[in-house]
Amino acid sequence: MKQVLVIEDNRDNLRLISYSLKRSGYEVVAAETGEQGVVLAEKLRPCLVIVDIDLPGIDGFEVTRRLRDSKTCASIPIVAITSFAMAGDRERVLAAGCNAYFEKPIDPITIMERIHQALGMKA
Amino acid sequence: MENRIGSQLPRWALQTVGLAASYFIAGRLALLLAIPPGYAAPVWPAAGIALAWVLVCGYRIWPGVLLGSFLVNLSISLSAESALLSIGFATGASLQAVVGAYLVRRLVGFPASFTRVQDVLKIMVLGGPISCLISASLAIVLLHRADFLSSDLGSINWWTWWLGDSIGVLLVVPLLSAWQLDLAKVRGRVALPLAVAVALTITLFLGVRSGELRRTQLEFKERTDLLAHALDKTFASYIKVLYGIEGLFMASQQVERQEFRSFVRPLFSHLEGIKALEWSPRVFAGQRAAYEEQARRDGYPSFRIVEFGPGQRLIPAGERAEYFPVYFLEPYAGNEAALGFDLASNPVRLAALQQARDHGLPVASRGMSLVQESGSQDGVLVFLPVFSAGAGLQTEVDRRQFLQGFAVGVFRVEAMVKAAFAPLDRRGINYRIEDPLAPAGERLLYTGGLGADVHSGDMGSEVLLDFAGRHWLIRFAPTSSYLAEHPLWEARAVLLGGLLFSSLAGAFFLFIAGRTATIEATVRERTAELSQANADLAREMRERQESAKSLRLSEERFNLAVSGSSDGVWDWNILNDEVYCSPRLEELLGCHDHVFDTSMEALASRIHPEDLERALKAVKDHLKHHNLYSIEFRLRMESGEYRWFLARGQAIWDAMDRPVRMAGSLTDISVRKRAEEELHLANEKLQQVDRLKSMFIASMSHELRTPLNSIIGFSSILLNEWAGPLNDEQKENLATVARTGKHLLALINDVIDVSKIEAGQIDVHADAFDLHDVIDEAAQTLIGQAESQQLELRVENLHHSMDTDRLRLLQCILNLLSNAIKYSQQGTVSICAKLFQSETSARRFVEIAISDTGIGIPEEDRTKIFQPFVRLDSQLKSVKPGTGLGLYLTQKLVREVLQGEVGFESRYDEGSRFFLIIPDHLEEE
Repeated sequence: MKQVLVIEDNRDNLRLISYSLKRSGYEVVAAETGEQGVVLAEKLRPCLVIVDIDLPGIDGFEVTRRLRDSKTCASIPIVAITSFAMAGDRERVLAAGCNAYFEKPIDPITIMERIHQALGMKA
Repeated sequence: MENRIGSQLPRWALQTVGLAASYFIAGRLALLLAIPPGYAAPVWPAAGIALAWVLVCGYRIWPGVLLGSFLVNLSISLSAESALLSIGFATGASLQAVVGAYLVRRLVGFPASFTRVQDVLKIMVLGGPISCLISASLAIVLLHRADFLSSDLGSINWWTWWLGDSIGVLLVVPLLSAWQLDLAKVRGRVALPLAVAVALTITLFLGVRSGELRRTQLEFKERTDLLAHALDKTFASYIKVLYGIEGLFMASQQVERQEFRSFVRPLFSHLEGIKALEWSPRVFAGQRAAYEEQARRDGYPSFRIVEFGPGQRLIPAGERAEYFPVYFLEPYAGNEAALGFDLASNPVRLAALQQARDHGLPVASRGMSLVQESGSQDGVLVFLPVFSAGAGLQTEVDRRQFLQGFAVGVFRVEAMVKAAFAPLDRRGINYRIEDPLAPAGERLLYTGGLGADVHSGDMGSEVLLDFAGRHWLIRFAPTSSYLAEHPLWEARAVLLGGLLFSSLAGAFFLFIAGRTATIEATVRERTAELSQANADLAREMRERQESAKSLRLSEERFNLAVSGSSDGVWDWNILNDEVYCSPRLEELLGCHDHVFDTSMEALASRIHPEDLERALKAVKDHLKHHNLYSIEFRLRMESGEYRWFLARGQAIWDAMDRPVRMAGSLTDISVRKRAEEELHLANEKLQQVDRLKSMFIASMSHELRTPLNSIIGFSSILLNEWAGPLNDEQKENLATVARTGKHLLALINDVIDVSKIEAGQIDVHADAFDLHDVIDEAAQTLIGQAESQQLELRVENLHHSMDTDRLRLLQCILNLLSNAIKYSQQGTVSICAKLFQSETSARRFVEIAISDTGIGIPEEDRTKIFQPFVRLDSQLKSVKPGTGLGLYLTQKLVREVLQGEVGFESRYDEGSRFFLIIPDHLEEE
């Protein structure tokens, strides 16, 4: 089964994303902090990483940068979760190395579109 | 724009045509001064005229130079080749004028200050000798390329071209400068002497030129006369040879072939023009066999008397009464074919023979070609009749009777001429010898460099020489190099020197006139200043008298005022350092009873140590730099307590700008100071509260939105029936949850935006983008909503590059568009973008208007529509979700982020039209 790593500190959001992923047949691995997420990604090498930009400790930009600099994870597609209120995030997110992003409030249908978009880009 | 072009084009065209015309006229006039035989004008003021025009009217009229120069050059000689050359010359002239103007503008500036003699000289040098290198060099290269340098135009060389152009420019510059000075007097003072000098120079030049030309002609004629004389003598010496032969035959009864040979042989060595010498005896028909026999015995076994038969073959001569065969022939080698030829067999020769016989004189034949290829008739036969010795030869009858034969000479013209000219100097002279009576095409006897068609010009000469009864025409003409070597130096020098002098004189007069004008202006100015100063002085004296009177009055008033106010007054005599302090001042400082130390030192010691430096500096700045003296500092009271005072004062300075006295007041401002401090503290507290508010909003927004994400997300999952099927009631209830959740989120977002704007914390992100894309994105976002309400969404879009905050613009358009859709129940919603130019500035604006056919806005609500938390009463209010912040936020964003304005027009029940007008790019605040 395809593994997706979700890095999100908010349990409810995590559950929402996991639900959508599991329903489409993905296995979900969760991390609550950026550091944890980077360690798990290097260990498991999931087929996709979903990362919230607002994280305690290192934020989603830093997670993306570290994954892109890592030897083993550089090519894993990354989808970022951003909040609408942060103007200019779109450019910053894509510039940091993410393949796609979606904005809060999270719409399950949009999540799946973005994930397919990110995976499609890798293929 | 069009108007401007419309009015400028004819002006440009007029200037260009004017330049071309004046260039042409100046060129044609200069050609009148040309020194023959070339066409080169020794001086070319047109170059100066071109420079002046380009300097005054700008570079863009250069085509005038091109046209003028082309026409002048073409007018000299009209042919395809000269047209090409003229284009080349014209290009050089235009380039020269433009470069000259550029150099002057760059290195001196134009219009320059012509009163500085250095500037005028600089303009003369840059525009003249320096830029004139261009045209001359280009012209010489072109002439060289076109192989024109060796012909008539050859007398134009680089040096004369350059000098002519340079002097031309030098002549024009003082005139131009005088013109630019724009002083009528200066113009006259420069133009008149210059015109007189130029006129004198030209008159002198014309005189010297014609004199010099005549002298050169005479000199040439003298030399050609010498040549003609030598030629005449040489011809005579060749004819004499024949008389020698006649002598030989007259002197002896019988001349043997061997005798003839020995007689003529020595002649060949010193007369190189002799091709052959012959004896042609008169042989009667009866003597023919005997003569032939004798010749065969003399060593010519095949000798026969012959003539030309058909096909130019030699055949035995036909039967005639007498023959004149070539009997003795020296040298035989090279002339073999002639031996035995009967001269009388050829009618032309026979005619010559008969003429010689009848007149008893040598007769020359027409020229004939000895060498086939030479093209000229370079050989000639001369027949001299020889009669019996001692015969009386009175009449033709006598001569016919006693004719013995002919001494015949075959001479080469070229060798004769060369021998004749050998000892003489014929450098620079071309000549040509012709027989004018010969049939056309056979006239040329010899040419020394002169073509048949070349006109020998003013300096050529012609001489008619007699050669054995024929008249030979000798034409002499100077070679082009001769002309180049005799370029009438004196006339040229007179002209160039005179014009150079005129130009320098012009510059000198310009300088003098400019100086005079400047001095006159200065004198006028100074006189005006002086009378002004006098008037000022008189007025000042009047004022003094009046002020003395009013001083007393004002002193009284001042004392009254001071005693009325609470200020303390001080008056410091700087010269002796005495300070007067008013009783009120002493009171202010808390001195009531005891004596108050009023030295400045004592006063200064009362200033709070923290303020001392500042206070002393303020006094110093006032005394030294006359800065305003008004300063706040603390002073120690007698009680030891410090209070705040405001000190103001004014010093008085003497004529040497030394301060002599300073007076002022002290005001107790402690109460005000305390209030200020309190205000400052309150302000700081307020800012702290404001920061807290911002932090609160930032964290609240996050905290409020996070749970909403779950509410919206999970209700979406349930509504999508991912967790299992729902019945209609459940669906409707869940849809309400989702809709109100989204509404709440929008409300929170709007509140955050509004509070950010109000706190001045909103970030502006200027982006470059196409307006079309933003409008398209807004329409795409909301088209689903419009369609679900059966509304038509009409878009009139516009491509225009913008540089403003894209996200905020999109947010505003979405707000207005969603409002329009929300409040329209049927019909059309249209969005229309237009571009227009500001009438007052260079900025461009776009108007984005959103019209609907909705419920409209009632009259009474129009004033509050942009206020926050206003939702108009309507039957739609309950069913359509809204925050009441949309228009308020839109207006804020348009005004404060997009630097534009938002407005609307509306008719109740018919629809509304909201529009926003924003600049297409943001300007730095």
